Amino acid sequence: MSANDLDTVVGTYLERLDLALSAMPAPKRDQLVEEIAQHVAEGRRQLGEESPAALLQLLDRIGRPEDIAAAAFEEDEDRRLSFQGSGPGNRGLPDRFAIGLLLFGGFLFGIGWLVGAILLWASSAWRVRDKLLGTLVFPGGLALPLYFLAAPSGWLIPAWAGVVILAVLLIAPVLVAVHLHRSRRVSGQEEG
Amino acid sequence: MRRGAIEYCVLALVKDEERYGFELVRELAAADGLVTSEGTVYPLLTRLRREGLVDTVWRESNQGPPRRYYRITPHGRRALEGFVGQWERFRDAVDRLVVLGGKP
Repeated sequence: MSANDLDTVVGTYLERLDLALSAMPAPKRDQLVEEIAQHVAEGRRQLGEESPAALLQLLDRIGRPEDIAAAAFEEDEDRRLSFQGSGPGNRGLPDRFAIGLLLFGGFLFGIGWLVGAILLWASSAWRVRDKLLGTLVFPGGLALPLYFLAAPSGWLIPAWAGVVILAVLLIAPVLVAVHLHRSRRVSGQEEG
Repeated sequence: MRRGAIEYCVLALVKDEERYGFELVRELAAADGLVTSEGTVYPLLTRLRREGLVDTVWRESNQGPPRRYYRITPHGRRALEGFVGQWERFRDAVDRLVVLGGKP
């Protein structure tokens, strides 16, 4: 295998990476591909006598392009908490408060729920999908079933459907609150 | 937990001296079980840079093209110090339960 063939192997590897990152904005994608290309180049320089087996081993250590892309997407999404300034317990308090307000804040003229939603979105403890879930299921929290009961007039739904809807309105926010409690990313041992 | 700790391992590696990407990645990958592959460290480095925990500087190299060197920022240093304190308490607590079976 000639040096050109080895260049082709590297080129194909980088193309695979570029393809795996195609959903990423071009500047970020180009930067990561460039960094990996430099890593490959540096690794090749350090190989001394370059053989196909040594090059493949080098690429193997760097990893599958698809795995690198997966890590890149994960890092993009996953803004983990910094440990900085987080004494035990104090960091999680606003987050727990947010969950409480999302559930019961609706009873405080609706404003409490709104504050809970703001705290939820301001916190870095949850991913966007969890924040969406916490906001959409359901606005008003446990106060919503109350509004549902208070204003049923004019709704042409069978009684059993009303019971089902009521049950969903009661149970879903509780389940979401449990999910938010479990999924929040607190610092290390603080909450396990 | 492993993923959460890796970023602090990066900060620890550049705590006292700046290192260029290749060297940094090789060192991390050499630690058993810490990263799945060398390439997956680069997205992490990008995030640490974006969050201001490290910054980078290009330096000429006599062994090839210029290299990007990583160094810790004051913000990164504070984050690392915070982590180290918590990590020691966490490690001691787990050791006490897992290794010593809860015996003092």
